[in-house]
Amino acid sequence: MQDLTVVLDTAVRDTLAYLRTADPDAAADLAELRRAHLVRPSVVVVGETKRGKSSLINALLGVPGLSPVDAAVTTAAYLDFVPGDTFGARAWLPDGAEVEVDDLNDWATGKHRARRIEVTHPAPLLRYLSLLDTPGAGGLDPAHATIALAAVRRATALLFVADASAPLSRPELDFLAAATERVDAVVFALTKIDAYPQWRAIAADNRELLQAHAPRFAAAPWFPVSARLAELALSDLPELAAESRITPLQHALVELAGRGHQLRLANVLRAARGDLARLQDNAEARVRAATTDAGGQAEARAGRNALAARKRTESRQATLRLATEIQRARVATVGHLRTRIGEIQHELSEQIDTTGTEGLPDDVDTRLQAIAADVSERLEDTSRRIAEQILVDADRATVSLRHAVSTVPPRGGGGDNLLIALSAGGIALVAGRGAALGIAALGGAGGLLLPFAGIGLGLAAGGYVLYRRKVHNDRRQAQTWLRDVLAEARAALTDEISQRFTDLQYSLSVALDDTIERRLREIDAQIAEIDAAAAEDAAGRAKRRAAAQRDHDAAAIRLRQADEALLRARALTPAPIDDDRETRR
Amino acid sequence: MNGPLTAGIATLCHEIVTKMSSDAGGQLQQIGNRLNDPLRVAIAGRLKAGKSTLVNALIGRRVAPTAAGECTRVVTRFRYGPADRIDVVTRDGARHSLPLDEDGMVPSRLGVPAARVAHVDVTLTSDRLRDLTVVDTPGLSSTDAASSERAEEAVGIDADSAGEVAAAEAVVYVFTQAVRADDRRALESFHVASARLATSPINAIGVLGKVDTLTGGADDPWPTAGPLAAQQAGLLARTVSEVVPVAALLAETAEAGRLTAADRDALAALAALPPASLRVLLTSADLFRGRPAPIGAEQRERLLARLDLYGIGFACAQLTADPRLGTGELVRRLLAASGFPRLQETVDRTFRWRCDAIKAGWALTRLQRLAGFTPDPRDRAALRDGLEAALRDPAYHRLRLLDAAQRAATGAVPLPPLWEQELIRLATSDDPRFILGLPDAADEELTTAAITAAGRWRTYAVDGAGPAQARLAHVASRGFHLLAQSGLTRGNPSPAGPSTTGEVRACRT
Repeated sequence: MQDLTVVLDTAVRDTLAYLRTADPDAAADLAELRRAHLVRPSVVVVGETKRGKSSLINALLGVPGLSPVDAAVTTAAYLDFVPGDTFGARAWLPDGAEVEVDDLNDWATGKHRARRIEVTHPAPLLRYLSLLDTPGAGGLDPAHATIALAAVRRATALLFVADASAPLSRPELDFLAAATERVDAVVFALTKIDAYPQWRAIAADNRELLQAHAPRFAAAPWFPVSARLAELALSDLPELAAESRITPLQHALVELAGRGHQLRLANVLRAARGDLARLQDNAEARVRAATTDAGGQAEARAGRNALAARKRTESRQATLRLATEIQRARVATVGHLRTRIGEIQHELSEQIDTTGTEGLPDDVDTRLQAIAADVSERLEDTSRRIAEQILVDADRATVSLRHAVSTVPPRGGGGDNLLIALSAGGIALVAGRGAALGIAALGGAGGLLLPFAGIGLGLAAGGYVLYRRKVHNDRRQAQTWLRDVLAEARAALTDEISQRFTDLQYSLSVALDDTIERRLREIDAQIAEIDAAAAEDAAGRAKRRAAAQRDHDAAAIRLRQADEALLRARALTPAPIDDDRETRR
Repeated sequence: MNGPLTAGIATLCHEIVTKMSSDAGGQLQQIGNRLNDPLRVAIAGRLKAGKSTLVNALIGRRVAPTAAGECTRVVTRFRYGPADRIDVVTRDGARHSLPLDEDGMVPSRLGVPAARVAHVDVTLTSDRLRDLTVVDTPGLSSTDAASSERAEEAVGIDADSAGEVAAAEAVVYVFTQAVRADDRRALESFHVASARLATSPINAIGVLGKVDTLTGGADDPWPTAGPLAAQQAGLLARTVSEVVPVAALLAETAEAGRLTAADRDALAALAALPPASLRVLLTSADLFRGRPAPIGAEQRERLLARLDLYGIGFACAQLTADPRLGTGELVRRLLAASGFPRLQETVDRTFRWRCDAIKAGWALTRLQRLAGFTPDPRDRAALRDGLEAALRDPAYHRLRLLDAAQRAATGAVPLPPLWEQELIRLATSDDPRFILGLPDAADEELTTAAITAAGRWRTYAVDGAGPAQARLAHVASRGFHLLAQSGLTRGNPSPAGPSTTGEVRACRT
């Protein structure tokens, strides 16, 4: 496994070095892409409330009490564990404000309503991957599940936590089924094996349940662990370390992270391969140009004109199609948004009627968060779909889109800065037909909660104050407040959606033009080559041809190297878990 | 065991049945018989919450199968009968009799596919069942959707439908560790399923099961369990009246007498170990099985299955402190440590007394309907007269109080929290000291306090309340008025309500 990383890494390095001399522009792009791709793999820890997620994270990191654990409280915020030299924590509030955290306990258990807390810690495991602790997907609560699923989507892998007290329940299996569409790699942990003597029977049951309800994961590895024993082992009973069974899980995660790294390298290499292929084509054309006579020359010129004409009409058509598609998608997304907001309104106002106004703002906040996650997911999917549809014949799409990403128009205004950053992030996803998994991590688990912080702002800053001032326990006022807040959220989201689509249209048109321009330039260069070759004598032509052949060969060698590496990497993509098991055996 | 209200109605049925024509008389007889049935308590909860274990503890006999995996898949009713027998009732109404298996338990194979089973009817000679019928239900949120549905059918109380056999008058909702969103939903959905007798703080209590696994190992879970249960009770205030923490496995072992003298000796051998190695042994089940110890593997497995690590640790501690402790005393202490006595006390206090009113209310509605629909005018007149006479008794004001409390408790009519609690106390207890929150007051004080409360509620009804609140307030006001009168005439609280607040506190600690 390790040598695959080396192979991929060497291939990327060599390609990059070669490109620096042959095509500095492409090399710069690629270097940028590589930097963006090689962020730390992230593992999202999900499971129902009180299954021992936080304890497990503490055990994995070897730091008892880092993520707050108590039988009576549950984790309420997303805790992102990232490496750092010292222990520290920062929290993001729903309105996007950033706060230094002094007492992690208070923050993590929801006393301050933080959306996300980033904890830096020097634990060894964090050098390989970052861990995201999620609030438990509490039973059937669909809003929480949606948010957790959005987190899963950005992750390299999922660590699903169930405990040994009971077999998987219906909601857990539903959640898993939804998660399968978003992430390839899932690792299962069975916690609390110290407290339940029959954990082996439960583990067997769980495997059967997966076989029946989520067959994709039937063969996925289960890691029975005991966080409590791990903690005891750290404090005064070191002989329990083996009994806690934490180490195999740590190893599996590191290995998984390594594979995530390989996948990303493979993606970079795949992008680089596109450039190499282009260079090779160019060199080949030059070779051909050097060998052609006057007749062939005229033919080439005619071909060039035809191509240029076709490309121009095609470009017009493509632009039109792009506009139509975007318009259609915008209408669909806004419609979807309206439905969702309507559902929430209905649901919450019923709740007000039956159970009163207790905890309403928090419910609204959670649901808005879920909507935001849902809509951004839709946006992402739509963008990718459109990009693929429009650019499907322009085979240099990925290359050109890299330019598109950097040319997103900036938007002004304080809070919007966040949105810009993430708009760019969102569109960056377009770049990857192949690169999807890699770039997704660019936004990281961190980005995921922020893109719609604008809405949170509407609720967090003004909403809570208004709520406190006006509503109290009055149900009618609560209904009014709810209607206002949701209307505002809808307006904000609709604006944001329009913005996103405008951005998308802009960057896609740029990308489209760019692709066509570049292609035309290349053809022009080819013609010039043919002209120059025609002007020279046989010896000069032979020399020219030899030079072109050298370039061609150099590109071909790199291409072959890249292909070989990619071929080996291909085994990674389809079912990472299965092949992981094979190698372990 | 019947309360005064039910008894009154039963007598009424008995008296007028002779005056009725045979047809109406038959129905009357049915209503009367139903009144004599013991209280039906359904045990509900998520899968693997420990429902069957709790059922065994309540019955005092290990009859409901419990296993490592998901186990209970059909609704099982345990009631008192002259002989031990099992009837599997299929959906088409046929009954198949089965013997108990060699361990005296309900066999796991019923001989009929679970889908065709309507419910399993188990009659036992166990004395505990004389005044308590227990309904065990399959786990909710199970991946086996069909059994979850069967459970919901059983608990969604519908007195008139075919589900009557399995339907219960009270619900004990079992959950572990913490209430999850779907637990709340499940509880609320029972509420929706039937508007009249759905789960509400009036007829449902929560049980925080498996408390022995809260802290892990042999550590004492009670310091965690108590506050946790209180917190969960706050979350579920709209659906259950109380959350009682219980270590059901210990209760089952103690109540069903599954701990033998040999087990005690094995525990004593363990207790003789040096504290450090005992501690390591008790940190995890696997360690307990695998580490060297003075007792054999089979014996260890047996102890683990009966006591779990906490129980073993607790027993060892008891035996270390008092090496000559006998098996009986050890079992008694284990039972105390399981928190089960408090649950029993709560079931008794919460359900028995309220159930009287619930059942009486049910019977009155049926009788009134009968009075409206009986073809024979003489029957009608006889029924109406009887009902009028019965309802003149002020005791029946409790029915209206209960209805009012139900409205307040489920949030249908919002009241300020303190008022709501007072109304619920008034409706669900007959101990004036508990109702008025004056545990040590003298009789005169109580009377004064009750009169003051009546006045306060009347004032509330007249101003400052909406029409719905005002209706409840009038009912409450009259209730306090009656309480003041009863205090005057009776002079002391009824012995039927065992619960002075002081006692309740003592049980909680």
